[in-house]
Amino acid sequence: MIGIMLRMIALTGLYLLVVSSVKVGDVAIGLVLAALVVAAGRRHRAASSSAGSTLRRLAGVPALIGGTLVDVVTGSAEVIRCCLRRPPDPGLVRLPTGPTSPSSFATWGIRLGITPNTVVVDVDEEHGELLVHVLDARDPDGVRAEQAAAYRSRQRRTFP
Amino acid sequence: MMSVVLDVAGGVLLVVGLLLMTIALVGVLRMPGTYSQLHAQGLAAGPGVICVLASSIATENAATISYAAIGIVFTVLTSPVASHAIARAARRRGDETDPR
Repeated sequence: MIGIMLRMIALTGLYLLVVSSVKVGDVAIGLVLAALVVAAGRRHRAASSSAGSTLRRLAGVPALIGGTLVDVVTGSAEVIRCCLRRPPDPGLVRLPTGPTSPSSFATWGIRLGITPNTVVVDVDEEHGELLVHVLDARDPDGVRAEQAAAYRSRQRRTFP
Repeated sequence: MMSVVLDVAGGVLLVVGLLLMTIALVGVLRMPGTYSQLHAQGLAAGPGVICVLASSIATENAATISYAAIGIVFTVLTSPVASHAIARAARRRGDETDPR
């Protein structure tokens, strides 16, 4: 129930941002449209999660957003250094994610993709593996350990 | 007072965004290979665009700021996908290096 309400609030908020208005009529239209989208989406969703797990996942959102912002800033600094000099040793690194849900895989991809110092090259959902290009691939095990730590501290709680 | 703070913040964000885009352009021209160039373009398409859009706070116009906020959300969602599509195409074409 909490998940449904949050989805409706998020979609209504997006609608109000698009129309740039908070008039009662626009809020009502937004709520109706959000209810329709959520109702249509529920048909395609698998087993729903409990209220407790939804709250637990929501509690992890600040760490996910804040941690990703930190990664974007540090990643940007590394890319700036490499743009102005030469990259130390760019290369591809295989990153095991383990067996995860499709939403977790998508979050891995967006989290790594928005950070400028990593580019997701290929995705192997079957074997739970991402192929990532990094600017400093001299220590692939270090890259894997760093990304696994980032997953544990930022993402695991929200998208396990 | 608030207006001055927003003006300064907007100006700083605009300068930072344009600086990031300029550095990204230098990177695209200097970096070797498609994958490395994608890192540079990611700097412009991600943090660069976000900073420029966020500088809209200086307008103090709710409609402009909300459109910029939507732009930031969609940039965060679509920029990684675009980079991934180009990188995947480069790999299928047979570009460089074995995975480590």
